[in-house]
Order: sequence, then structure tokens, then C-alpha cells
Amino acid sequence: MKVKKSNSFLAPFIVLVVIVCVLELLVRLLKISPTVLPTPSSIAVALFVNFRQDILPHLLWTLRIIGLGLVIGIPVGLLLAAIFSQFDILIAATTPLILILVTTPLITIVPLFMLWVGFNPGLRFIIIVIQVVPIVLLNTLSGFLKVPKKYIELSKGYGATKFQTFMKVIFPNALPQVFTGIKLGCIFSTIATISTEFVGGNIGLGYRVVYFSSMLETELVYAVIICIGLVGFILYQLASMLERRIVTWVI
Amino acid sequence: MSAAKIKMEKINKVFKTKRQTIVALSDIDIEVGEKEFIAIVGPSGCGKSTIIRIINDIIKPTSGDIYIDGNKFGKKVPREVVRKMGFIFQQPNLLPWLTVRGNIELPLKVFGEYNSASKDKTDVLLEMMGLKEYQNAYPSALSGGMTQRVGVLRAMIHNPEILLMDEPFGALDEKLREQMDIKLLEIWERLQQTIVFITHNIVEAVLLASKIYVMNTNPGRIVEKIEVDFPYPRDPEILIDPKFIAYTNRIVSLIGELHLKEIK
Amino acid sequence: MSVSYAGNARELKKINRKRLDNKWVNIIAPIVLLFILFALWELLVVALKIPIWALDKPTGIFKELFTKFGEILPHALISLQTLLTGFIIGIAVGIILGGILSNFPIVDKAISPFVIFLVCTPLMTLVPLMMIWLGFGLLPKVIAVVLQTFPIVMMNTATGFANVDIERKELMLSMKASRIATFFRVLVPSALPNIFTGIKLGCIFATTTTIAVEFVGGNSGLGSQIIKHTQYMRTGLAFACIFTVAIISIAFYGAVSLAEKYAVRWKE
Repeated sequence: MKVKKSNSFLAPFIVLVVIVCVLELLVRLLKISPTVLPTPSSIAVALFVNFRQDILPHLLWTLRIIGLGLVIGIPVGLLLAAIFSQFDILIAATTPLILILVTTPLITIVPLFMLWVGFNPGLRFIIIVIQVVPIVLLNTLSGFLKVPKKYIELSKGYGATKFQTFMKVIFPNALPQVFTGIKLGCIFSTIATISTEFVGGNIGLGYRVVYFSSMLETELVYAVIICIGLVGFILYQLASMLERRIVTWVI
Repeated sequence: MSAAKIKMEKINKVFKTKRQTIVALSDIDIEVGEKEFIAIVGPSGCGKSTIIRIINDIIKPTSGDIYIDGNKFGKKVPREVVRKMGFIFQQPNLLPWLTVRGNIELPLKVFGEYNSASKDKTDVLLEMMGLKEYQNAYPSALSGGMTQRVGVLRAMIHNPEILLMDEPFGALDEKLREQMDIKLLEIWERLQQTIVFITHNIVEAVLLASKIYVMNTNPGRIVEKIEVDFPYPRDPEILIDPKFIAYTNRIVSLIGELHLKEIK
Repeated sequence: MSVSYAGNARELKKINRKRLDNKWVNIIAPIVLLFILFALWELLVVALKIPIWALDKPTGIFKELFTKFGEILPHALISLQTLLTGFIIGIAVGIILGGILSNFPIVDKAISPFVIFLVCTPLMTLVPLMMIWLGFGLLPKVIAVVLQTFPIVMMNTATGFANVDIERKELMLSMKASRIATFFRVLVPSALPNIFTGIKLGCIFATTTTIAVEFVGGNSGLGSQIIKHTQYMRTGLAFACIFTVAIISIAFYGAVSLAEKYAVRWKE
């Protein structure tokens, strides 16, 4: 059953337009102070006017950090999962520790990390990598280990080698879970990057939020927050689109 | 002539989707006498599952009337009447979060009839099916055959007068199915319910039922009504009786014929 | 806990890859690994003569943790307060909204991009502004935690309620069960695994956001202490706070996992 793509854009678009109009009206009618909540129109204006100069360089910088972190972190996570899955003792020993790494907010390390690499903000991507790898690793490993027995038996029945079984059975079966890890990785990489920019330095969208907040340029604060949200959102959607392309067998 | 226990008169069911209109059932007339055991056979998609769901008011008919115990129900069958029915699904359909015992007692709890005597009732049923030792197990620990037996018990815990069975033994292997068929006949001898039995297995239908409705698809309709003239209690020996084989041949040829017509 | 019933074949639908059967190995192996890692850390700091203001050794950190516990504790309690309040409100809102949303698939389709947007936006970015409006107290922090936690819980809850097998609902229909009976007997137990997935993710979001908002404003809570100690180059103390955060997060997640194991004990 094919769902027309145009349909899935229409409803949210309408909702967006409605929300923006309602907000505009509310702010004007209730005379809400612009330091609390400016009108959507003024936010949009501020965004466009200041984009080139005040926002774009920081946007690109933040994107660079997130991108670098993901491009390194995801493959490393996948690779480690593939290796670990072969050694039961490694699985037993590391799974609880990886879980600890995932549940503990790694942003706690950010201030110390900034201390160490402070003079070279280009190295911030390392902390993104540290944040992303455990998430991808944990989810991927979980996917590798939860293969239905009958698929393995099928593979053995054909005399497949371990490697063949892995590539043709285990890995494809784990893909949905792998993508869960990747999508979570996208979300947490955004959070981690913005954290680093909040804590210190003078470049990046996070820094801009702090800066504009202190100058009470509320329109710009909201404008930058929306940019940040869009970055995370687009990354997530890219991962989702990739997932829909690759994992075609799940409804 | 005594009033029929269940009567369906000119039942039609049409499913409308955005793209197409499907006539699932067309002009269905069915009569089931009290304590009668009837079967409905037909190819996949002929609407037999829809029929018993209409009787149980899980699905509403588009038009037509249902009579239960002589009382006419148009589009809605009230609770007290539905309470007289027990439904057995094709897939065991046990609630995974309840134990075997919990699943069997579920209808009593839903009907608000669970009391101190209920525990003993459950015990009796568990004994009957040989499931006493698994009463506190969760469905995930049981085999397919066992879960289906629990499904049968669940449908009977509230002493329904009518049993509606949707290909209950379809997923079981030959031997187990035969055992369950015999067991079902024994239970029916004892409890004397009115049974509507759906199956695609023609031998099973002739073995169990006294009356068989043969259906076909596109649209779902009844093609023939066959009275099976064998006395109860029935022995598995009748399977090789020439009269038996004649019945099965007749049904096979009916369904086969119709399919040939369709291909042409 | 699985009990095997002899004499009947189990229909195993999924099986976890055979873990090392010895339960003790599963407990001891990670502990051993942890020890090894700490030992390596200790060695590296000593051997490479890393200065204390850059990185302290584990023994030093634990010493700080114990001696300065009185200093750390009040902040830990404040963080805990923010975390628990925000978390509980967040999952309550998430579950209720998720339940409602699952009844209106059209609404779900219309607003799901916005929900995803909400999940992907680090809400710590709102905190500087919120602190200007609402002060430096508990409120802006709790609001941020709630806002960051509830969407993921909502998404998973909605999925759970939407994916109830139709046969289960037919079963209830066949008994003419009331809507409330169907809700509590079928819909909720069926959705519970998904809901718990959402809650566990909510845990992680809540703890992360709590620390993040404490970075941004005020000087109470473990997050603010980490910043402070780092600024003064007291890395030992900073790490002590980090370990405290880790302990809180693990305990939290562990509690939720235990609750899940009990609630979903019928799964294989």
C-alpha cells in the first residue's frame, strides 16, 4: 500500500502554519514582552537579517564538529560491535560498562575536556566520538545478539562460514537496531556539541545562544535555537531516510 | 419444528476501502439447530471467518438479520446474548501477560462472574485437557498445541451454549488434530453445546458435523448445504466408510468445480 | 526466570545468543575489567607524571570523594531533586499524551515531525532565557528536564498502544468487554514493553539535561560544581563529582530496569 509522499508533508505543514499564526496573534494581543517571547515574524526577520554575519559561521562550525564526531563515531561503534560479538567473554565483561557509559551523561566530562583541549577547539569532536560510540556499540551489539535461532540454523544448514553467516544473516537482522543506535547517536551528538559550546569558547551555535542571551537579544536567541533544532532534526531525518532505503523489509 | 438456535437471514457484508469495495458476504442464509454441530468449509477468503465474527458481534453485517434463540438482532447483539457464546480463534490468541490459569479465567472476570467457585471450575477444565501442571506457566513457555488447548478451555469456562470455532486445529499436525477432533466430540457429547465449526479440512468437517455449508469466494456465498447422515457418537472408523468418502468427494468436486469455472 | 517443562517442545521464537552460562562470570568479568581500567589509569598518571591539575589518579579521586563528601552531598541532593521532579512529571505527561495520541492517528501524523524536533533540540539552550524570566531556582531547570524527557516517552508510548495485535482486541470484543476493561486488560499490558523502552530513554535524557542545565546557570547542583572545580583546576574534586553523577545515573537506570523486569516478567 503506497502512501503518497505529498500527503505526509501536508499535514505537518498545515500545523506549522497554524501554530505560527496563532503564536503571532497571541503575542500581539496579549502584549507579551519581546524579552520573553517575540513574535514569530520578528524572529524570522532577525534570522534573515543576521544570518550571514552572525549566525552562519557558527552554524558551519557546529555542523563540522557534529559531522566529524558522527563520521568517526558511528563506524567505530559498528566495528567494535562486530569484534566484540565474536568473543563471549568480551561481551560479558564490557556490556555493563558500555551501559554505564550510555546512561551517565557524558557531558559531565565536557568542562574537563575543554580544559585539556581549550586552545584547540577543533579537537572538540573527540568528545562527540566518546558520546556516540557507546550508544552505537550498545544498540548494534544488542541487534547482533538477538538473532532468531532459526535463521542461524538455516545458515548452518547451508554450510555457511562464520563470516558468511555474519554478513548475510546476523548483520541484516540487526539493521533496525543499528539504526536506532545511529538515530540516538545523532540526537546525543547535537546535545554534546552544544554543551561544549555552552561551557566555553567563542565559536559555535551554543556560544551564540549564551552571547545573545546575555545581550537580551531574545529574537536572535530563539532564531539560533531553531537553527540548532533544525540541525539535530535534519540529521535525524537523514538517518531515517537512509533507514527506509536500506531496511526495506520492516513496515 | 423447534426454533433454530442461530439463524442468519440474507446477511451481507461489504468492506469499503479508499480504493475498492469488497463484497465479503452475499446473501448468506444459515440455520443452526439447538445442540447441533455444523461446519462451514470453503477456500481461503470466502468469508467463513467473517460469518462467525458477525454471529459474535465482532463485526457488524451491512444488511440482514441475525436470530439467536428466536430473537431478532439487527445490527447489535446485546451483552447477555454474546455471553452465551464462546469464541475460539485460529491462532491461540492467549494474552501473553497472563498465566494459563489467568487466561482461562479471563472471561469470568470480564463478565464479572468470578467467584470462589470459579477456581474449582478452572481445575476441572485443566484436568480435562491434561494441563493441570502448567496452570501457572506463561504462554511463552508452552508449545502451539498446548496454547490452543488453553484457548479451547478459555472459550468454555463460562458454560456457553454456543461455541464458535475458527479453524481451531488448523495449525496442529495431523495426529494432534485427530486427537483434538475426537476430544471435541467427547466434550460436545457431554456438554451439548451448539457448535459452528470453520475449517478448510474437508475430512475434519465430515467427521465432526451433521450439517455442512459449502462456500465459495468472489463474492462469499453459500453454494450448497450438505446433511451428513452418520449417527453420534462417531468413531474414527467411519473415515474409511464409503458413504463418508462419497461426502468428501462431493465437497471436493464442488469446490474444485467452482475454481475451474473461475479459471475459465 | 525460565523454567523448563520436560516432555514438551518449547516453541522458542527468539533466543539470546548463548551467553556464558555461568552466571558468576557475567558478574565478575565487568568488575575485573573495571579494576583493570582503573589500574591502567593509575599507572598512566604516575608513570607519565601527569600533573594533578590536568588529571588526577583514581586513588586521589576516591580520596577526595570521601573526604569532601559533606561538600558534595548537598549538591547531589539538589541535582537529584531536579532530576526526580522533572523525570516523574516528564514520564507522566509522556505516557498520558502518548496514550491519547494513539487514539488519533491523524493527529499523530500531523505533529510527529514537531515531536522529533523537540527531541532533537537540546533544551539547555532555553535555560539562559528561562533564568532571566524565572530566576535561578528549581523551576526553569525542572521545566527544561520535563520538556526534554516527555517527547521520547510519548513517542514510544504511542507506538506501544498503536501496535496492539488486532486479535487481542477481537478477543475483548468477543466478550463484549467495556472500553475500560479492554484498556486495562489488553492495551496497557501490551504497550508496557514499549513504554518501558521510552522510560529508560527518558532516564538518559533526564540525567543529561539535569547536568546540562546546571552547567548553564546558578551555582547549585553537581553540574555547577563540576564547572567550578574545573575552573579552579581542582580536577580531583571535579572527577569526584563526575563519579557521583555516574552513580546516581546508574542507580536510576538500574531501578527502572528492575521495575521493567518485574512488569514484563511474562516475556521469554
